[in-house]
Amino acid sequence: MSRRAERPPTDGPRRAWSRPPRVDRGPVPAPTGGEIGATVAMTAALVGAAYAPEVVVLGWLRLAPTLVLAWAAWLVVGRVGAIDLSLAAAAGLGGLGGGVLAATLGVDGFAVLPLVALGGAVVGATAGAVVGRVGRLAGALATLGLGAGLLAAVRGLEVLGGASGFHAVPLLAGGDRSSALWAAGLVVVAAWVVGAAGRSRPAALAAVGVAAPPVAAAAGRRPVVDVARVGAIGGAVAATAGLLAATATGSVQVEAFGTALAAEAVLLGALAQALRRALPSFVRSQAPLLAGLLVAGPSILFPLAPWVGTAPRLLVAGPVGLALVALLSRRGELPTRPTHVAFPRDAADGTASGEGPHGDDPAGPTPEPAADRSGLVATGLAVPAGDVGLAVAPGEVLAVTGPNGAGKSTLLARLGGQLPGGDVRLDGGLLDGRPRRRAAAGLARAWQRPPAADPADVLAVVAGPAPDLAALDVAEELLPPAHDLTSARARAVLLGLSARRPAVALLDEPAAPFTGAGAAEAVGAWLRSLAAAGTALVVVEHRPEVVAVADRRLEVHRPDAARRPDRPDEADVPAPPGLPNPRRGSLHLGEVAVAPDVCVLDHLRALPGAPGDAHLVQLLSAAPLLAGRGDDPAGWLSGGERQVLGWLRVLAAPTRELVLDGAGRGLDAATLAWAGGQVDRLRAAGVTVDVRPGRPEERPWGADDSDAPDRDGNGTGTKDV
Amino acid sequence: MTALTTGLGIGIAYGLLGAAAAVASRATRTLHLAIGPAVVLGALVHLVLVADGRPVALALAAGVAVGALASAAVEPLVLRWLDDDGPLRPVGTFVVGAVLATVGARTLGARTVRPTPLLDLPDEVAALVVGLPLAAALAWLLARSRFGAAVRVVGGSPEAARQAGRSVSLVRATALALAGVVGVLAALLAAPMTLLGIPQAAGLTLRAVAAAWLADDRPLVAVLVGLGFGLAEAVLGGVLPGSGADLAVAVVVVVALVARGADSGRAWGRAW
Repeated sequence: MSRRAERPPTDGPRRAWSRPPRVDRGPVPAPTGGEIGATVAMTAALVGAAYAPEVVVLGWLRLAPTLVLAWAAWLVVGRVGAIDLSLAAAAGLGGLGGGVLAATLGVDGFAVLPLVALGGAVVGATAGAVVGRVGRLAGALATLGLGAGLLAAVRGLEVLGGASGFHAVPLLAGGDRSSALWAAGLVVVAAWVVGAAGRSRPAALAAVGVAAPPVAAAAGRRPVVDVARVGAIGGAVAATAGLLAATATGSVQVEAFGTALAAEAVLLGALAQALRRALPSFVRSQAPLLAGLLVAGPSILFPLAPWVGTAPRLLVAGPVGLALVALLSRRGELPTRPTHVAFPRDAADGTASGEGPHGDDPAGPTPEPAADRSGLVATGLAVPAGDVGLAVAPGEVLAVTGPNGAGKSTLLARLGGQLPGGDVRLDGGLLDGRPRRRAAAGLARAWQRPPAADPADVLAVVAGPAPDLAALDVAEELLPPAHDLTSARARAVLLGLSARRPAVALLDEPAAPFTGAGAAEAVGAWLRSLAAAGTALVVVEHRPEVVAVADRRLEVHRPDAARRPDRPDEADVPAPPGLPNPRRGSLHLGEVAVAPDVCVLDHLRALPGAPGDAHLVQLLSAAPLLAGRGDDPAGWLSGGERQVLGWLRVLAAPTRELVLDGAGRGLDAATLAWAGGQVDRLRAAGVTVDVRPGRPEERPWGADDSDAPDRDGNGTGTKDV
Repeated sequence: MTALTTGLGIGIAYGLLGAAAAVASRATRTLHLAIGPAVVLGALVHLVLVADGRPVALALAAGVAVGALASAAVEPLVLRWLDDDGPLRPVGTFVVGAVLATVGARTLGARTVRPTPLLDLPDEVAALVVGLPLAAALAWLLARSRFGAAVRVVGGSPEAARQAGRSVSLVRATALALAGVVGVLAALLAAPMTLLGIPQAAGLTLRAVAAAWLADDRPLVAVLVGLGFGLAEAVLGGVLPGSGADLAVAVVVVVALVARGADSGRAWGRAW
């Protein structure tokens, strides 16, 4: 983590993030004064370039297409997060229009701009719909195919006259200066259009639709539609860039809109987004312009050396751009700059927006709870131990508790429709199985892992089409503050639930992301406030401060025999194998992470210096909780079982130094005793063990042997160095 | 019939490339969008050296080395620095691939070389004899070997691998290099049956990564998917000579991905 991330958040940035400082209502929020000023300055500079000496004008004409492409790429790749590798193909359609179509019709390039933009919009919308359908990574692949297919089709139709290309017409009759002026105008228009689109609510919806499709669906959104809408704007602007490129260079070649341009486009988008986070607020709206200058400027305007000026642009721009992106992109840091949240126009008083189930936002507002509402009733919800049923009345909090791996999150997923199965009824009506339909009926949920999207966008999506801002203000005061990006995202979800006022809220460990004294109590108070508004809550939680506020509890048990064999009598437990000689280096055993789809045995086999399979199998057989489970995927393990796997990693290939940092978390009394015995064995084998207790039961592990009681009679242990 | 046979042969080569991409994907948790340019560079090095009269074994070693290094370069240049929580890593690998293609076009792209077969067998038979056992070996390596277990742990949870004392960067780079080695061999198997050059690098990337994705990163299933691509080229590519093959594969990829729906079959985290 960088130093900046380690610095405790001051009250200013934390508070700036904890409360959205600016709530925008309406489809397209107005720009700030700084954004307006920066755009005016940009316009003046661009127009001035058209009146510069001839060589500057020519360079400007070559640069302008890249700047327009940068705006398009920022919207799609940077703002929304879709890796659209067909942007270059959209630009290619623009070049085709600017070259072939204009020449065929005998008009200036400018005259075909509307048609070109429409064509680009179709390509962009298609790409956006595909990304919304298949997700970000598969969307990158699909748009790569889409772009390659488009260019292959154009190549095959042989409309461009082969390798020599097609001679394009100018943007406007009147010479280079006239074209340069109009090019400046197009850049300014692109900046305004994209800037407005980037601030808008559809962009927020699209961003969450790409980053976390299940979250968007659970909030009643259709990512296919949301991403397609923004993709259409990006495609139209990219096609305009292609038109400019064709008219500036005077020829159209298919190869000019291939892989290199596609790479440049996504790089521009990523760089522009990284610059936005780093620049001061009054100039960050111009980040795409700066990205375009950084990527294309050296090879066009300021050749550092003859080679740079003649080399393919990507040879310089690629490494420089990637380096800048890596430098400017920070991991997991809380945004230190406040952002705005785009709410619908009717958000002020929380009344219906007028959009019904057949309108743009099918997740309609929740009516005030009526006395005769029966709440949520569900039966036949399959979890590992069997079928579970529950009933929650409006205003009631039902806490779902139980050990890890019992199926609590699975229970919520079946209620929310993310997993099929069960009979779920709300106020007596049977609910459609799909998450989007359940959201429209009034179900909403929070997630164990917050969606990996900008917190402002998450809030805009979860809050729904008619958020209650008064309830939002109350929730902001109740909820604990965010201290990192994960807790900021989680907080945004909870704020959104308050503003949405759903009939039913399903929450999976809502207090988990928050640390600090009083955080769990604050979440408990917030739960009661949501219940007081009439929402029926089903809350999965471990923290007693949160469970204490519940009206009822539902205990979900692990199956006794189905997943775990009975523990044999102590006399039948095989003797543990001898410890291998400790190898160099140090290990840290804290909270254990696992690869979910890799089996338990393979986690051990993957250790550097691990002994043979026979030794590992014997080690597993002698271990508590994991005996006979070598073939189980590690994702099935409970928290305690994962912790035991962590211990087995240490025992399979011990190192000379071991740090136990809360290594007893999630372990029951018998397993803690086993762990204590392993500490003694490790010390006896010459391992230096540094114990940082996470629970009182772990303190004896670090005690001097002369003071500590003998835990299990296996060895005497040595004092920590 | 000849076109179908060629389609099957080239499909096996695509499948082998897909198997290589599957190994890379398992280790890196992202799309290896530089694999096409990396393996084409390696294949061209081999073909140019053979055309210049160098011993075949030396040329093959050089080509494989170039492909391995180019593929593995993604780790220190991209994966080590960019967060996997967003679009940056795929963008980075794609840009690296484009830069590699640009370098290749400036250096090797101007040379005209006649593709020489790897073995003294009909091209389709050579693809079968080399491609299938290689893909099976990759599948075994990934599923049964200790290195494969390390790759799967690194890919499933880099934090789990770090906790186990594994160098995440080293495992990823090794997996990427292995993908490059196998990918160069696959490209050389395909070379006598189709056009192979820098302009075809992006198309190879699409075929390789799509095969791996649709196969859920299972090498042997990737071979089957690659066979499908080869058949699509043979059957549909004849409709539009010249660029029909690319169009056919692009259509198949997009339709298959859209039909399949959202990212699934991957354990790179779930929302609940």
